[in-house]
Amino acid sequence: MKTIEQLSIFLENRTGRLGEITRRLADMDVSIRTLELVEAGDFGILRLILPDVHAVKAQLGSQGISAKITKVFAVEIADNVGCFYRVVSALADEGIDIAYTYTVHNGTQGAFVIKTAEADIARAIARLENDGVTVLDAV
Amino acid sequence: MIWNQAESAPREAIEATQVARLRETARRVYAISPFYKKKFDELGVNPEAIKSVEDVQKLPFTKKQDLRDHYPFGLFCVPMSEVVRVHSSSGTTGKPTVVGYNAHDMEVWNEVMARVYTMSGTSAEDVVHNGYGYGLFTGGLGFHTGAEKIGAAVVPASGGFTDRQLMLMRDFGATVLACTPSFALHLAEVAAKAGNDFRKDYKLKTGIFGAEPTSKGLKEEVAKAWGIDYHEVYGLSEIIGPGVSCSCKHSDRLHIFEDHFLAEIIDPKTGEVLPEGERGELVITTLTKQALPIIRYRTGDITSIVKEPCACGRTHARMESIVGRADDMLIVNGVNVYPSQVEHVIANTEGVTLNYQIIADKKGHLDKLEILVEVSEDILVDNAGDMERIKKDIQASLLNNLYINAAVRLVEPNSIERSVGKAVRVVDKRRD
Repeated sequence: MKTIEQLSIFLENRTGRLGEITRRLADMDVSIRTLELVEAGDFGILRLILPDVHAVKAQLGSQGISAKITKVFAVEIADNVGCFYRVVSALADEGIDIAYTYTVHNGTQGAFVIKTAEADIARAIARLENDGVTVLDAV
Repeated sequence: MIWNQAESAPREAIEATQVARLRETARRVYAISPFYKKKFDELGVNPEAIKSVEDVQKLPFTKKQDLRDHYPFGLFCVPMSEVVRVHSSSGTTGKPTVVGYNAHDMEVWNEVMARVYTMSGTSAEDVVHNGYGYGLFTGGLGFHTGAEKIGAAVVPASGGFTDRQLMLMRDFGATVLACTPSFALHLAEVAAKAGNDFRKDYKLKTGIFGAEPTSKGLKEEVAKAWGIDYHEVYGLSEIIGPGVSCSCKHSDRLHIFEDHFLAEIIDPKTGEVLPEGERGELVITTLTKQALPIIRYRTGDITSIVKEPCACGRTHARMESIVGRADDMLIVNGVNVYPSQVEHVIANTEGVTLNYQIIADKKGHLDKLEILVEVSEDILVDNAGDMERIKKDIQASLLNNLYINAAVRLVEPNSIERSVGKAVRVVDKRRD
């Protein structure tokens, strides 16, 4: 299945915390493919897609920083008006809720990263591919 | 099974024993201890005036500081030639408190520990794995000689060396585990690394846990993790060590061995005795100790006592599991808050750990309470909505159960300050 593993890090909302985490990632020589920061009052969640999430999670863990690996999937952004609507409405039609979504661009290609309940992922991908949407192996 | 029929004596018989022994103890300290003679004389009380159990209220309190002031043996009421054992508290601040036993006191201790073991379903057939620390601390040796008294095989494992302890428990076929609840949970967590069906390698059926304040949640966790009965023991070195009281299988409350210890509940602020069932500070007078008899010892522990007979057949009064410390108690906008109550709420919330910190501060003239809770590494979600829900659940539960309005802040795992391995539970900024 074309799922992508995403690393989520719980961050307390205090000065320098984001800098500290990203410095550690730089020290580990980790190249960040995508990054999204969610702000929720006194804490935030940093979501990252990286080359080897398991190794990074283990290394962060040894430095006392906990992270969680979540399965998401990514679909190509077709260069035409209404493409996001088609993705969202197809999922709604299947009765699949989107927990959150964000966009990424790697210089040549854009993608929507989508999180649904893990049990729904296979059905979501099948429906989107059936509708002619390109589901990506990686971002 | 009940070890001694004194445990199920009628109330009048219990009180008759208490009055006679209380008078005897008061006579002893008045005649031998200059400290108690002075205190009795200051209050104008004479041991002969003790005619009822309530007359204990005429006697002076003894505080931990009194033991420190008479360090090391100043309050002993027997010559050192008669003392057979000495124990001591850790004494994190200043001098430790030192306690002593003569041969008679050792018999009393073994007697009450025999009752504890019997209450937990332990008999001569059992193998007791004793994970309480051996040494100056009363836990290790108290459980050790008590097990010998009932004829059980005792494994003096003491603390630490988790993997080796688990090996001994498996290989020796331990049926009874005696240790602190936190160590019991730690043992289970390490044992579970062998697989979820790890219990098949162990023969444990019951456990006797104590020596630290324990929420209901933690007790349930320990019982579930090992699949055993949970019995809580209470005690303190100043009184005897473990063996002041213990819970039977019919109730969460702990039977106090009233023929050896006279317990009262007082208002920690005024010193007044409170009505049966009300929460306050536990005060204990030893009724049979000879080397170090103690009159009305202020334990600092908050609990309540009920006297109605128990389904197990025992008539000895029952105290609640300690709900907090008199010196830990926070008063927030007029409401008494014990950290253990907050812990209970947190223990019943999914997604967070039991590592928390209560911060009391002032906002204008009002007190405000903030509770930091470490999120759990396992259940760490990547969904902000779920996190908010956890926060709101804790907040609502604190309001509904403790009647306090507290701000809850979720913090990163392992971020709450710890001092010597123990988390600092209460920070009261109002005192600064």
